[in-house]
Amino acid sequence: MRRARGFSLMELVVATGLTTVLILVLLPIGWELGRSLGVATEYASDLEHGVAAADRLAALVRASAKAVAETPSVLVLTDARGATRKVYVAKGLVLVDRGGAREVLGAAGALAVRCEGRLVSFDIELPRRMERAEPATLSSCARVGGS
Amino acid sequence: MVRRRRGTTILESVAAIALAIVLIPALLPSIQVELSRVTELYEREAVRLILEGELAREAEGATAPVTWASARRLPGLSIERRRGRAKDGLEEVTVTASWRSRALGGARRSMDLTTWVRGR
Repeated sequence: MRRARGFSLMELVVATGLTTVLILVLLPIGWELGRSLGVATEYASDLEHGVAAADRLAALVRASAKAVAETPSVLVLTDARGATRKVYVAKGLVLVDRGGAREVLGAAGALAVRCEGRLVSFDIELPRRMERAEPATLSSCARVGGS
Repeated sequence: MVRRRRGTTILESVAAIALAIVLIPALLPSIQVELSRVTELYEREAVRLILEGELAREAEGATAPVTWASARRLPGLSIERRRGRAKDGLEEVTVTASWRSRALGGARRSMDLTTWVRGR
């Protein structure tokens, strides 16, 4: 007589135990991977916004007739008609203030500006996403009235 | 003789679980590759902005070397300016940057930008 054998209690206990082990091993791996991918995505987005801010700031400097670093983190640009614009970072955004009307140039953690004759050098620090990570900076220089 | 169907042994189960633990993470996307791509993107943009700055300095006649803050994350960065042919009062200037990439592989990369400035 042929007897179909089902799971024994022992087999069920072993299968449940091994499945639990599998889940316990894979869960932290998946969680850590998801977190790391999230940080990488946020960093890529910060980089994109920082680059946009740097490019637009350089274009603003080139379109200006005069540039003065009011403080190491505030740049005042004056155009040919005498209108002034103040560029600074607030709440993680690079802002241009034109007499009260604000425009967002991009995102950044900090801005450092230096004026040397017609040259305006600037460093845009990207937001720090990871603890102990070295801050990523985008540095460039533009010429007032330049092309 | 009664033939008895044999179920999975504990050893087989353990081997299957061990394989699953090894193979499932291998199927997931590699975080190293993803981080490497972001690093490469950052390096390219940081170098492009530095080169644009160098060209602006060159156009202004500032020849003294400058320390760029973003160079901290570009190991072995070297910048070279070359003046080329002059035509109609304009001079061709090429700025080349080379650095050791921190992306996977760590190869030495280079980028150059060219512009024309008024001859002095």
